[in-house]
Amino acid sequence: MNIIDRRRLLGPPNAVPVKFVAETQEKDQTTQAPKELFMERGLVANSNGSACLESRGLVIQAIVYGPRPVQPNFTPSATQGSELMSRATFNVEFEMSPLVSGFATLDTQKLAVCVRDVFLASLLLDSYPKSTIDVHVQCLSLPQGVPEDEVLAMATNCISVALVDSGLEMRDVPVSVANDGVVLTVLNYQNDEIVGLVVGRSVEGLASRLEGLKEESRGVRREIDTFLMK
Amino acid sequence: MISAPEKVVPGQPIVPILPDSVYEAGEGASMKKLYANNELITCIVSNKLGKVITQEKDGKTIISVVSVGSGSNKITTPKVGDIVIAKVVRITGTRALCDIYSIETATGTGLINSVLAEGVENFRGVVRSQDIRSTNRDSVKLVECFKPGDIIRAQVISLGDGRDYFLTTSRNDLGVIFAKSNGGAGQMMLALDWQTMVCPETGKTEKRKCAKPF
Repeated sequence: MNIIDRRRLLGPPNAVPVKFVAETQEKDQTTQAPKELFMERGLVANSNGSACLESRGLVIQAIVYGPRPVQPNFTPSATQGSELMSRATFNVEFEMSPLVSGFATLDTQKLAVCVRDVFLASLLLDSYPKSTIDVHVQCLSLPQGVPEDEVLAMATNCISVALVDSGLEMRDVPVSVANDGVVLTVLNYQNDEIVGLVVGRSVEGLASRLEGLKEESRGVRREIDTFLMK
Repeated sequence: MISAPEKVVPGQPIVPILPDSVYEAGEGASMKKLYANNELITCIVSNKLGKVITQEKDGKTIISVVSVGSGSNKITTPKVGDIVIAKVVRITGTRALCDIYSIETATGTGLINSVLAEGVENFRGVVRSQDIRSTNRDSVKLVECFKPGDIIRAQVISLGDGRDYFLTTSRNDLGVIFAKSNGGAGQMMLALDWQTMVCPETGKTEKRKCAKPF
């Protein structure tokens, strides 16, 4: 229909109004997106090592300080003294970034303890007597619906890359995978030696599931090795 | 001749140890027993991300791994026998307290702390008066050997107790390498002999236990 209105400035005669297509549900995409892993290391200049890992919206960073001289207690007992002398103490602190919302259910203390046990078994702490190695882990982004076991697995992998970046001596690089309540951490080059296993609830058929998780960990290790070798 | 990989990741086997092998593990590598083809084989395994370096010594080939890249601060702690560079912080009648800044290891010099700021906690060393020189060890006057602010080259003799490492400067090539005259207010001094340093601007001499420069 031709509307000629001499009093107004009209657009071209065949113009149609803009119509926006309704946005598809973007929130679900974070859990259904392919499991890609983005890594970066050496970001923090005044630390000994650092790494940042991102996968499907979950972003975790780890910063390593050490070996630093350790402050002995004023009255060290005999055992404490010899422990200080023979190997490094290793500490992990896990915290959520203030920008992340909805993390009230995440037990950061438990995550720190689980992660610490893995690295006590993998690091060669005897090479660094009278010192302390401190790792600060921070979760920068936590999308809704990401289970706690995935956070634990990502945090472990992030600390692994940060420790490799720092040049500290380790037996192997621990690689962690999570699947439906089970978190398995292995040392792939030491014949898939298990250094961490966290089971959230009673799980049936655990032994057979472990083989599948080990296979998945080899894939993750290949990714990490490719990145480190660049 | 077995060919070793050039760049390795932690945990990666470098070379296997065969019965008549000449390979030994050096810095950054260790010997491990790993399963391969259902057999337990001893290998030299890397402990770091870095380049493989081979050195010949006494008929043996020593395999070490040296870090490269952004994180290559050559992290290490002082071990017995290491030569360290330290700064004298405080002296008393019987000992000199120092901050240890860097270590000379077999594969090169490494900084201990990545940040050399004043407030950063450093590894501490102590040079006792009997460890300063090898002659007349009992009649040493510490104030004629070191002053606060001097940079010294010393050797670690013991891990010590508490926080301090025990150091010694009783070799010809150990002692003060850099010092400023007038308690730090003047110019940098040059060593005349093992007991004396001179300020080139004023000509004044000061007593120090100097390291042999060459």
